[in-house]
Amino acid sequence: MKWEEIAPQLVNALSLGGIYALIAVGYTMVYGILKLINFAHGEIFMSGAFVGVIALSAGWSLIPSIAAACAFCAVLGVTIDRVAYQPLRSAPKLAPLITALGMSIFLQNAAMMVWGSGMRPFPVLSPKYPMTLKKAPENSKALIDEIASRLEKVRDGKYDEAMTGLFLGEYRVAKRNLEEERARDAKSAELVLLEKRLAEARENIPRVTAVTRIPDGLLVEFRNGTGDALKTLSDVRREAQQALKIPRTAVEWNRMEVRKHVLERGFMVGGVEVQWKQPLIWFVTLALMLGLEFMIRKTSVGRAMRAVALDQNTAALMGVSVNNIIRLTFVIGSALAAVGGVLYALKLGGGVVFTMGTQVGVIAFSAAVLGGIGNIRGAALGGLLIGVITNLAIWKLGEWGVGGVYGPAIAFLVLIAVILVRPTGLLGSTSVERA
Amino acid sequence: MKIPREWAPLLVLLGLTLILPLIPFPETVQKRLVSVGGIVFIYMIFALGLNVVPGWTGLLDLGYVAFVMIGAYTVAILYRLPWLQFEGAWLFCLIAAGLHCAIWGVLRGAPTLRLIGDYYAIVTFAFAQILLIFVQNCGPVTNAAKGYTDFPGIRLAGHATGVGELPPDTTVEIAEGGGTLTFPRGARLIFPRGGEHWNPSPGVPLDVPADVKVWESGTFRWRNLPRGGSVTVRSAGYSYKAPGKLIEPNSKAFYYFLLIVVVVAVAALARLHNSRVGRAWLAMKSDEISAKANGISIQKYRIVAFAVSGFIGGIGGGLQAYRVEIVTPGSYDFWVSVLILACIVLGGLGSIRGVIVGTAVLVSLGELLREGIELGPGLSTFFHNNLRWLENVAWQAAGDHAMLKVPDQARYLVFGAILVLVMIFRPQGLLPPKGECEPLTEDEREKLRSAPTALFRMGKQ
Repeated sequence: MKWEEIAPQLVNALSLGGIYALIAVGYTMVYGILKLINFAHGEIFMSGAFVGVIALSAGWSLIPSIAAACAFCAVLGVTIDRVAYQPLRSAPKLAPLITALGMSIFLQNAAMMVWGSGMRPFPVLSPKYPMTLKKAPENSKALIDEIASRLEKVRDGKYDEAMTGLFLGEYRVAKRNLEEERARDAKSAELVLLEKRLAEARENIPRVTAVTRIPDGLLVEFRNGTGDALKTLSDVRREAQQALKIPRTAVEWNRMEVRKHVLERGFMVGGVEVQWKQPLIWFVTLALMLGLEFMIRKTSVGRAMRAVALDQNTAALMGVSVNNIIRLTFVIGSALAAVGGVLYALKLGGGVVFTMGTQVGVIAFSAAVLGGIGNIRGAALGGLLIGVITNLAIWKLGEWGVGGVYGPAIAFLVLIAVILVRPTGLLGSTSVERA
Repeated sequence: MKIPREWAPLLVLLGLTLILPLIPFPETVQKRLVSVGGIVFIYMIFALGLNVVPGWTGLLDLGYVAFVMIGAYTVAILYRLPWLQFEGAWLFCLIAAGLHCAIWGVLRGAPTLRLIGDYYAIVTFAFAQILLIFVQNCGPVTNAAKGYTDFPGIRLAGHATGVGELPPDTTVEIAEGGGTLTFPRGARLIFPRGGEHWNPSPGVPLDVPADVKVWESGTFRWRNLPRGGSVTVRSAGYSYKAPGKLIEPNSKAFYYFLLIVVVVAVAALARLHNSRVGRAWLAMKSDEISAKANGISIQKYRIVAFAVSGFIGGIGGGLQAYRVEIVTPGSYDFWVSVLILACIVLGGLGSIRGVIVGTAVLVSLGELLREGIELGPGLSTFFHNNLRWLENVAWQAAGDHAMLKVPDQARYLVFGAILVLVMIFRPQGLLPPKGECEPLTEDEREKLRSAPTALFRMGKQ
């Protein structure tokens, strides 16, 4: 095993582990206080990822997007508690477990119905496309002006003015279909569907956020979709050339290249390339964990939380508002899961899908059990360990030709092994969870 | 024997199901009733099996589908073995599936025997997931994602299947009585004198006729054999005789057969529930500490519960495999566990009557909504005009009519909502268990701590 081979795996494993830790904290805090496995926590994580990706796609930058996801999930978490758990505080233990499961199923399918069953692509973080002339015609200034003005129209959402031909792909097709249907039958049921399609196609058009002049060309910033953005760019360029009646061969452009967002770019450490987003994930995770640890250990709210976890009745007698503390637990746990969700989407880069909550949620729960459920430091440690174990195992299994499909199974096997050998987890208290 | 009063709804339901296929509805309606009835009975078996653990011992099981899957695959793999071709092999395979699942039930529960119930929930979930991943990817044992699609149904008499592995140049011989054969690419047919179907000359190999389906190479089966007809296949190492009478999966015979299984399961479980074992489960569920103090071995009785629950799940899974004749990993995902759990929660955890009624309601409604219910013109206009926002969620347009039809995900959404709402507003379910001690709430436990004389109370006041 060479360092060059194992180092990228470790880098990956650490950021994945950090994300698992962020989610596991939510499981462990709720368990510590309510003695309840919050199955819906995975769905909170998924919603956070969705809200984050939607905000990023709408052109928000990373920090406001994370904040939006946190706010959404905090509200969601408290709502889940209010609807599904609070009425059952004194019921037999089976009841809240079943509502937790029901809530998880409900949210997952609701997410599918609201956000769609397909994968929602993670937006490319403001990619820039420098586009410069290699062989310029005489009226090159006019050409660049024309392209710039059309791109600015795309930026302002005036797609029809920007382009006349059948460009912008789906948008044009959807628009033409709608117009044909309108001419044929003004009240048909198809119209509603076609209008919806048009709106969707409009959503999918790459967003231009800035157009800047550079010598002999333009620098265009997009919000989403690398491939689509490139296509839009070449479409606009062709339209402009046609409008000015400049033959295609008269101009030659330098290859358009993508200037990656700083987080997507890498730096070299010891012969290994690390993308900037990885240390960002480590840093955010570490900062949040330390902050949480400080809050739990040193502040009065943290003391109240520990008191409620220990004995709700006594805590109430000491003047702690138990319900408020439980709500705060859900707020913190859900917000951390939301951060985890956005970071997870950022790390994978592919996109988010409505089933990710269950998959990742259960792995994170395994992490919480591994570290000792109810113990926040344990959740952090368990998350890191599960991240490293699953990542290395998938990598090794892939090398042996067994395939990475067994990845989730490994987390479950670790879970079962922990339950068999040391049910209290690595850092769990010795007050055993015995029947 | 005096029949307790609370069984009255069940007996009424039994009477209804007995006469249902005999009512002279139009043929399509009747067929659908029989087929939906079959599905409901299968799910009743699942629900009865699942109920043993969450309902009677108070441990949440989130991966019951694992038993359904193990049962189905056990049957699918055993039933085609050449040395298992004897009369009544289907029953042998079914019981083997049950026992196999009972073993897995115990193995699965073993790590959590000494722990609180939450761990059991999570282990059951993990187990079902691991198993699904294994089944989807382990080709040699489970045929990977393809599963077993040429699955033979239950044959009551004669030899079991007529499915076997044959070399490509096998000679197949059909004896008197004739039949239709499906056979591998490259196989040759030799028909004796008097063969009904293609009337071939004896000993002359035939090409594949147009109406004969060529299945995957290497396996062959025959279909639509006339009742009592005989087919012999001779090849190196194998000798098959005629498959016996087949119970068609959507026939009334299968319907009644499943009904009998459900009745037997209900009777056996009711008996078990009222035995020493059942009372031990009840005591454990109500209060583990006092149960222990009364000399009940929690671990022993948990093992019994896991085994019983697994056994019934395996039987149900095997029957489902016989019924649908297809065993693929895709049909054993998490949602099956959820549906079964929703059935018993809706009906009433721990109550056999409730489980039966809950399953009947939820599964039949779900099946009907999946296939779609056509609405009359009046309702159709109402749906078109006023409920357009629910189109493709709760109903679909079919020409001028509207059709009540719910996509899968919306159905699961409803199951999730049922789990939450029932637990909050009617935690005992539609038909709660009667005359048994119910688990204490935390408040009541708290009271009891200061009054240690009464350990649990009987019934709800």
